[in-house]
Amino acid sequence: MKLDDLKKEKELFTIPEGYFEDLPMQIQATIGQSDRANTWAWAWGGLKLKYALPALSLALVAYFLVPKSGTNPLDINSLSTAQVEEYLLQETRLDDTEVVEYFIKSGQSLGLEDAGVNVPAEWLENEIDTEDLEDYL
Amino acid sequence: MVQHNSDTQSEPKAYMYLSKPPAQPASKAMTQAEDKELILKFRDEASRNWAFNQIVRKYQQRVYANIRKMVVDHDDANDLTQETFVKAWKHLANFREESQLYTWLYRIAANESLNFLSRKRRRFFVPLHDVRRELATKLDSGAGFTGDEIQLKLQKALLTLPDKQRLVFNLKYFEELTYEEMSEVTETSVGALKASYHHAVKKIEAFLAKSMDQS
Repeated sequence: MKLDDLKKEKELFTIPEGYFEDLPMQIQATIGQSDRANTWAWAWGGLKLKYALPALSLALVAYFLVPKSGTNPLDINSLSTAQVEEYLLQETRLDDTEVVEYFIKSGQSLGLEDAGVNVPAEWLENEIDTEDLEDYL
Repeated sequence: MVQHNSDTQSEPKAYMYLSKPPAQPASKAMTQAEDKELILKFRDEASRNWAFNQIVRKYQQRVYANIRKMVVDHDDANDLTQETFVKAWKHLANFREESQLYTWLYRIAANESLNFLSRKRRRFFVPLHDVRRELATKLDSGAGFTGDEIQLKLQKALLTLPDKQRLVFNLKYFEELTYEEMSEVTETSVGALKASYHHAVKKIEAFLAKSMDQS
C-alpha cells in the first residue's frame, strides 16, 4: 500500500469543548504565575544575600564567645529578635512558608517593596492561611 | 467533539504591485506581514499583552495539533502547548526574525515534545519500545482518537519511527511545510530531511502492507 493512496486526515483527535477559547487565558495565567515565582525567587535570593554577611559575622562571634563546654549552654531566651531572624534565614530545613509567615506576623515587610511585590494587607492584620501563603509563593 | 476550521489565516487581499510580485503566495506574504506587525506590537510594553494574545489565538491550534500527534494524550499536549507559549512569551522580545514566527513556535513545540518523550523514558527507565507501546495503547483505547482503522494503523506505523523522524514526517505530511521551513524548525539540513522523510515513508508503507496481510 502506498502512502499516497491514503486519504489525508489532519484532524485525528477529539478536543475538549471550548478548549481553544479558554487556552489563551490559561496561558496568560501561567505566565503571571511564572513571573510572580521569578519575583519571589529574586526577592528571596536578595534577602538571603542581604543577611548573609551579618549572619556569618554573628555565627563567627557566637562560635568564639559562646562557651563550648556543656556546663553553660546558650539560653535561647537570651537571643535577640535579630538573632532569631538571622537563624530563620539561615536554617535551610525550614519551609519557606514558615519563614515568610514569621516575618509577616512580626510586622516586617521583608524588603519586598524593593522587588515590587505587594504583600496582601490582610496578611499583616489577620491570621495567615498557610494554604493561601503557599499558593501565593 | 469540537469542530475546528484548520485554516487560521484570513482571506488574502488584492495588492497593486509597483515592482514584481513577491515569490510567495499572497496568503503567506500576508501572514508574514501580520506576524511582523504583531512582533512590533509585542515589543511595545503598552500593547504586549494584546499582541501576545493575538499570536496565541493565531497559532494555538496548529501548535497543539503538532504536539498532540507526538504525545497522543490531551493532558500532556495541553501542558506542552502552554509551556511552548510561555517560553515564546519569555523569548519573543529577543526573537531575531531570521526565521518565520510560526517556524520559531514550531521549533519550541518540537523541542518540548522531544524532550518530554525523552524524559518519560529516562524517568521510569523504560526501554524505548515501551514508551511507544504506551502511546499505541492510548490510541487503541480510543480515548480521543477519531480516525478510522487505516488512520489508526498509520499512527501506529509512525510510532515505530524514532521520535525525530516521526516529527519530520508529521511536519511534511500533515503540516505540509516545505523542506526549507522544516529546516528552520528542526535545525537540520534540507538534504537530511529529504532522506529522513523518504525513509520514513518506506518504513510506513512496509508496516501498512504487513498490517494489511495480517488482518
